[in-house]
Amino acid sequence: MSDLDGSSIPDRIGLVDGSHGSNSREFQVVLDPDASVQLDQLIAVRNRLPDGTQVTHYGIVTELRSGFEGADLPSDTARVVDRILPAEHVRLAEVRVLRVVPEVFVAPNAGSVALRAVGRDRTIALFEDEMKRGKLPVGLDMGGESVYADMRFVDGRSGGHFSISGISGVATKTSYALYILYQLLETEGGMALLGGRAEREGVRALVFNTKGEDLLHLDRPNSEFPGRPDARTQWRALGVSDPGPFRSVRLYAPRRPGVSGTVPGVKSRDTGDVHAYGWTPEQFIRDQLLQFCFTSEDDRSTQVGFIEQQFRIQLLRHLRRLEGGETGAVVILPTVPEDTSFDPDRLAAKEPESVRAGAGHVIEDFGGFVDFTEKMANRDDDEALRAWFGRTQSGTRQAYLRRLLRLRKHIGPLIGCGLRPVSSENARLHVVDISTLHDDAQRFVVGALLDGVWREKQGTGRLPLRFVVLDELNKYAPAKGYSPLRELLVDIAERGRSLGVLLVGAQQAASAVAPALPRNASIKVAGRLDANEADAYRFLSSTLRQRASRFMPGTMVLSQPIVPEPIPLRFPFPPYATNPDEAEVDAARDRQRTDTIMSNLTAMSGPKVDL
Amino acid sequence: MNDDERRPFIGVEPFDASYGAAFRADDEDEHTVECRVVEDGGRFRIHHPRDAGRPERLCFVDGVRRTEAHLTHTSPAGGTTAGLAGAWGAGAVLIGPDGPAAIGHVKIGRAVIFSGGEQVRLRAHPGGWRWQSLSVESEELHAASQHLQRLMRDTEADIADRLFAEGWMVVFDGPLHGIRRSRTTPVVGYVKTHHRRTLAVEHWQAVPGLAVRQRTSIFAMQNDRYACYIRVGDAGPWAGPWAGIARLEVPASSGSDQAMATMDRAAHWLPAFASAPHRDARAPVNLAPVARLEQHLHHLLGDSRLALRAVREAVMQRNREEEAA
Repeated sequence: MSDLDGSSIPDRIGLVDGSHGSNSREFQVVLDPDASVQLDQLIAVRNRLPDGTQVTHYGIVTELRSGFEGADLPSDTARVVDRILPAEHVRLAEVRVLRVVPEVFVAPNAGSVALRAVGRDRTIALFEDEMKRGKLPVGLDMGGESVYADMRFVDGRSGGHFSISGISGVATKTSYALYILYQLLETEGGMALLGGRAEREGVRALVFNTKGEDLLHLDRPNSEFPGRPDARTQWRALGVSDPGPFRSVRLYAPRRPGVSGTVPGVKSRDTGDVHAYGWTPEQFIRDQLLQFCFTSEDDRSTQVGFIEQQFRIQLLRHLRRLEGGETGAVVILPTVPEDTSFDPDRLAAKEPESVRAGAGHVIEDFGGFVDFTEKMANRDDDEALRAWFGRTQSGTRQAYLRRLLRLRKHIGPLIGCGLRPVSSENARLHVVDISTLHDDAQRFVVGALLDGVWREKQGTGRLPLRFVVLDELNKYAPAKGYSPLRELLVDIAERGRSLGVLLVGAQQAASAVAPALPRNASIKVAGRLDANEADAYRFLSSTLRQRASRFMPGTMVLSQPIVPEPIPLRFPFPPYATNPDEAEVDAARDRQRTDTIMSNLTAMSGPKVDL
Repeated sequence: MNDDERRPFIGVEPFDASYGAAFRADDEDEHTVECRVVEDGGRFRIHHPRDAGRPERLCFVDGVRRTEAHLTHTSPAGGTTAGLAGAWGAGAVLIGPDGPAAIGHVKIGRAVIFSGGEQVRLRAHPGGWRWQSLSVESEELHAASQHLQRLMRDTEADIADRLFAEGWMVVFDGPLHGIRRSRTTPVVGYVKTHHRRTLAVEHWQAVPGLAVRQRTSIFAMQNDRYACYIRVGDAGPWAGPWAGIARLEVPASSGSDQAMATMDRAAHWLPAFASAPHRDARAPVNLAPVARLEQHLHHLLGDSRLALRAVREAVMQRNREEEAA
């Protein structure tokens, strides 16, 4: 037995319940009448074993109970309240063991004093003492204290990838992903975790904006932030003394539809702040982006994928640059030498020679490419058909063509001469807007960009890191089926951590995503969960699963490999705008713009003449 | 054991519950006496007192006892005396001006009691069991058991004493003659069983006519107590006429006026504490706080199986030590 008369110990909350036996995994604490304890409170219980070893159990409160001891029937409650039946009000805390120090698997003794784990005890309870190679503040616990994740499981050394789940709208998945990026890319503490100077400079994050133009304002201060003084306190608790907007950001949007130029199609921002993105025909062919055109559900079960592969290789073999232009227009030669390679990677690596326009079929945009495909499909030349389409039936070729025609409208604006793809230069955070695109085009962009990141990292090793934030993962890597994009994401999930490509994936329901993705994520986070879906979240205890179906926005639960129980946490209100309404009006800039317009008008009206 | 060198030897048998139940150690001295009615000019009436509210500081005092093992002591000469190991407990349910009803003033005792003046000491058991060593002079088999009853009654009386002194209105579960000293503070004895007639036949037959919150005229019992009957609760259409009837007793030393006032009030507030038939087989007369207190006290006496084991082990150790001596 431990010290039973320890009622004066500070931080004491009660005694380990002896009526309900404790075990090495969980125990109950009978709370003292004056103890104020809520869920997720961290607990420490010290015991001396018969051999003299001093053992401390660290645990987390997972459930609280209250009842009248002595009331056997529900109707006794009224008797107790009316003071007819004597009964004692007892409050119990169910505690799950997080850690035993030293690591001896014993049950805490009944009757031991249970303490609030504070200070050093809290650090040990949450394994912070084990996070010797860096720790990332991932949020605040319910008591407002910082909770950390072991950096080894964030940066790919021992693990990587975040998997964030929860219902749209209330689960704040994207907000949490941005919070993590902010900590990593915009704070001194975060940057220090990313490696040496070169690695810090070289770190990049790619964020896909899927809703409105919300994330195209991350570089602007949040106008609601100053009205929330508690948020500033929370940021300070998380080690950020001066929270503000993201500073190193580049924004990308598809060019404005129906316009041939390179003006980005944005409404809530100045077109000068946003870069239009797309691919030239040459990039389209040499980066083999054709494969990402066929990713929708019905493309996976037919021979369309086979034709695409055949056609993609032939395009590479017949590819030439259009002479006299640096715009990316290409010429597809009618014939090439017999000994031309069939290895797509080797072909793609080679700089194409320039030829005159008359040497073959000129392609300057996606429409031109579709036209070329149609021409090839309708040829009478069996040999050419076999070369470009394999030994497929005419019906299959027509199906392939039909799909391509349908894509003309969706993917068309993304392919054209003079367009520039998303670069990873000049800024740490790259936000790519895909919200205005059709599903097929969204998958095309995600596939093309991820493939680029993936290819780039194959040769360079883990550092500098590449973070990719992708919402609605189920759309790109569904639980069932096959597509090049799904395979790419599974590949990144499985091998990405050693190559420094780290996925911050979000989905409404983990069950709808290819199982390899959540399985390979070291850090699993859940916001408000759908009660029906809660079965899919095995990393949560059943009580936590039920609780997660009632989480308010901003409350998440985070599981990481070294802490055996998931820890509920909150993260602070963002200092950066996460939608156009939050973006602070930049008065100085508006004034400057007005001045420019006024001076232009003055210039147009000609010199003032003194009469 | 070596027959040539006889030592005192103690034997242990488990207490036979059915035997204990049949044996009435209760010291209720009820025998048919026709008590004198001291109110209403000696006529026996039914009163409808007005509601004067529940006392602000009200408590219920009760005790329990249990024989845990029967013991025999065999002397070196071969003579045998009987004894027992038993436990008792008493406490109170306190219902103050605020806060929930609470159990307090609990005292638990445990003893080895031998008849024939034999005194046997048992060592404290490491599991937390320890026994006072007591003896009664009588050779009577039941004397030890009666002594256990007295220990419980004394403990109850001590607790009641203390609560009187603190100004509590005390309801004592059982007849008041267990309380020896006179009281000026109100105390009410609460008697549930009516084995013997206490009134003249025509009065006695009128008692079941009581309704809830009514009382009979007050009568004097043995010159030291005033008493009356009340109906604590409706026992239901299936019950006999006396079900739900309880006798209240107050000390005669408080005076008949004080007694009447106390009885009038108690007739009103006591029915609130009557137990419900689904909770208690002895409903409604067994009061809910008292039932809960008894349950709690029984719990505090500890597990009877463990108690028997502890007695056996302590006795074995003692026999070993005697042998070694």
